[in-house]
Amino acid sequence: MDFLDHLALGLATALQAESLFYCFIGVLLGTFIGVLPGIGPTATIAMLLPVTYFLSPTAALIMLAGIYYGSQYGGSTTAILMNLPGEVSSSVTAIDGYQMARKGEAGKALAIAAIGSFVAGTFATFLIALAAVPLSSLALRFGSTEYFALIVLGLVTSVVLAHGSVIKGVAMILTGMLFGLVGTDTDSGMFRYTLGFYQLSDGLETVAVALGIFGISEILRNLEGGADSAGLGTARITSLMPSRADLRAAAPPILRGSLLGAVMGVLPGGGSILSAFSAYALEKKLSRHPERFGHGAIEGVAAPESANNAGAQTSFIPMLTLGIPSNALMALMAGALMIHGITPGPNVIREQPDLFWGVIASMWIGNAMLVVLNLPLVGLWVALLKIPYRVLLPAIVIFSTIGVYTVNNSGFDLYVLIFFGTLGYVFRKLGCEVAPFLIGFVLSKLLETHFHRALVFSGGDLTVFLREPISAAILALTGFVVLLVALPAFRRTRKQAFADSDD
Amino acid sequence: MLDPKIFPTRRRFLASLGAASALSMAPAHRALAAGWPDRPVTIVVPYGPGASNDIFARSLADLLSKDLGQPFVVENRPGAGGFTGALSVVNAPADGYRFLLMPNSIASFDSVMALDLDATADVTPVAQLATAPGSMVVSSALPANTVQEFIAFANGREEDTFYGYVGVGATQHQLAEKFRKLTGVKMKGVNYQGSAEVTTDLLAGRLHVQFSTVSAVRGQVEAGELKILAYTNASSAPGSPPAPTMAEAGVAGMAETQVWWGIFGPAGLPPEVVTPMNAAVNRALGDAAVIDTFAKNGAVPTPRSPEEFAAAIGSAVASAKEFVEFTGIVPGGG
Repeated sequence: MDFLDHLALGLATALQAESLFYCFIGVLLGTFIGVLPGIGPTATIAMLLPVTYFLSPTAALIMLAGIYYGSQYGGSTTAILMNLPGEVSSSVTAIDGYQMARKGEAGKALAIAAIGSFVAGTFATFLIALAAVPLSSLALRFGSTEYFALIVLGLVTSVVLAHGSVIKGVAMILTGMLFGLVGTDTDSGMFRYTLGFYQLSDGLETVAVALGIFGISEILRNLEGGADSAGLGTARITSLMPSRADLRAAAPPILRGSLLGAVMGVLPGGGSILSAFSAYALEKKLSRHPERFGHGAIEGVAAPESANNAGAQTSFIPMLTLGIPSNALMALMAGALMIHGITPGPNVIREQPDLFWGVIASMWIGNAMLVVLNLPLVGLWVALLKIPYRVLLPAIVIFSTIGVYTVNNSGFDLYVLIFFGTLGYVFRKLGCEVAPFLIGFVLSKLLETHFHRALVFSGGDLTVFLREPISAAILALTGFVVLLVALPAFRRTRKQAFADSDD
Repeated sequence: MLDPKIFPTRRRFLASLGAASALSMAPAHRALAAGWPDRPVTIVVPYGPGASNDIFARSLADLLSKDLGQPFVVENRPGAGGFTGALSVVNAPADGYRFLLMPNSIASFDSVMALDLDATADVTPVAQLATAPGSMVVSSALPANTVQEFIAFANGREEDTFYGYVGVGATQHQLAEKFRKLTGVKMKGVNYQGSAEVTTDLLAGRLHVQFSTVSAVRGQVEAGELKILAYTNASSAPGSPPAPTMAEAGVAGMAETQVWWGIFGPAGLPPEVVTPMNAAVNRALGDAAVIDTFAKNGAVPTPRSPEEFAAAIGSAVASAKEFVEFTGIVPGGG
């Protein structure tokens, strides 16, 4: 009953002309910045923040939210078409999406990404409406001990993501982790591995590392192949829309991804990155044909895309119900509310019910708009692949460069981009996957921080990770995954799975 | 390079010919400031957009643009705890076209982070904007309603009592350590990456106390989930939840360490720029909308002369040094 009242109030707010207009502007902008590599939603929302001063708080938040989930949508487009993940989380989509594109199934991959995102968005909207308040208590139960366990699980499952040898996968994670440690020691404030560059005291910029290691290195490899006319080496486009069989194959991963993403999105911190990676790992685990993963499996696009989008939406829960922004982007959203004198916190839902439910209902409307907007555009995006390489390559480099520069207005980050572009190329030449490198890079600082903090709280007692029930359960699950990898039977299947993955 | 003594004559000459476009050719090294400002002025915010610094800068920039007749443009240059942006102003020509808007953490670069920026020598103090009292915040579930009860609570426990802070040597870390020094209370610091994480752990009961600005916790305080035991000094912003000052609660000496924001120029900025800029900023600080913006962020405008501001910087530098001596923290490395 309450639920229906809330939904009615939300829809009444979200269906006002002003709300609809700003929702549309938001998702449109979001799609475009998502498509442009490097120009992320954080930078865009930051730039638009002063503009929102002139809007009503509800319209402002609806528009900014639209930019956020719109960019998650658009980010998968370049990940699929060009192996250029605009966001760290869409780098998972790139693994199979790009392979699909190379097989000429770019349209199918894009359509599945769009449909998966819409289903996930719908699911997350209803979940928020039903369970926002109880879910917010989940965020409070996650302390450093639980996070540490969760990150360990994330790192271990990312071994499953790696093609080829387990040794190489582990080596890439560890290498990524080493680069992640560059910066300032959290406890003492000492600089480490900064080589005398104060610019490195905040650590390496994630966007520069991700674009370098995925995008620039891909371009270098393509250049080597002499791909001067065909445009990114993708095959002729055979299918624009998914068939009935494709939809049947994608449906269960979409549902599982939505659920996983929605739950993990609520957790502050690395939730969104972990959710896409875990959804992918889960599908691979459940699949009867895991060997197709990494070679253009439709499930490998459907699951992480759904998880991604569901997580993007549920990450609003801690901000709106507890006043705790779970990432930099949510902090900006909180900033947008504060400009209007609304302090994010437990009172928002009581004092501004139309704002709270309006924003949530608008997410569902925005997701519908995205499908309507993106499905017809699939043909256009795919046409991009026909642009000759000599035109497309410089354009990608220019957009990546601008994108990296605008994150911090920092020229130093461009050197970081070049360095990791070269490093990524070397990794590829050595037959090492770059995805585990990136996840190691992103998670190492978090792993260290939470490990350290958990031990400060426990007075240096290591058994705390096994005494806390949530962390113990997660670590047990991790042990199970390790066991699976170590078991001979699994090793054989895995070997089989990657037997012909040498390209 | 053109001799700056000769150059103005040339500029006036060209201007007298009505060759306004020649201005765009003017190199940045013009030493005179008689006509200041005659082109757009940049205010560097050394952090990302959206936080209080950025909001202050943007609300002031609008008023300064109207008042001084040239666009004032906000530029975000985040990185290295504000050092990247600060350095871009320190190294700029002292001509009045590039300013820095930054909180008192500018005083910590040298002693806490071992980064090469002396706040008493490498910048020109132009105007202080506002101060924000620190607040001592605990969970509502904590069985202590006053500062003295908190001290008794912490000292009477078997287990450790923890305070949370963001950033080694940041004002909230300095406040917590100063409180520990002045009262001898038993508590340990836990480092966090962001204030949201601190609030989470405070709500969840893993942390017991934090020292922060009011704005970071206002939502939870108004909802009755957190409570403020005391403010570090008296000038609490209008609309702040009621609580006594530290001095009233029996802890003297906390007032000198406080958060403030100010505008700086490169070293050696001439009075022809400092004086009108200080006057314009102080006029802007009287604007109702600006006062309101500051109040929402828990801050109170403090119009000051450049000399008074320089004294505040000196006291912040001393405070940072005292912190390093008391905690024995080894500065950044560099």
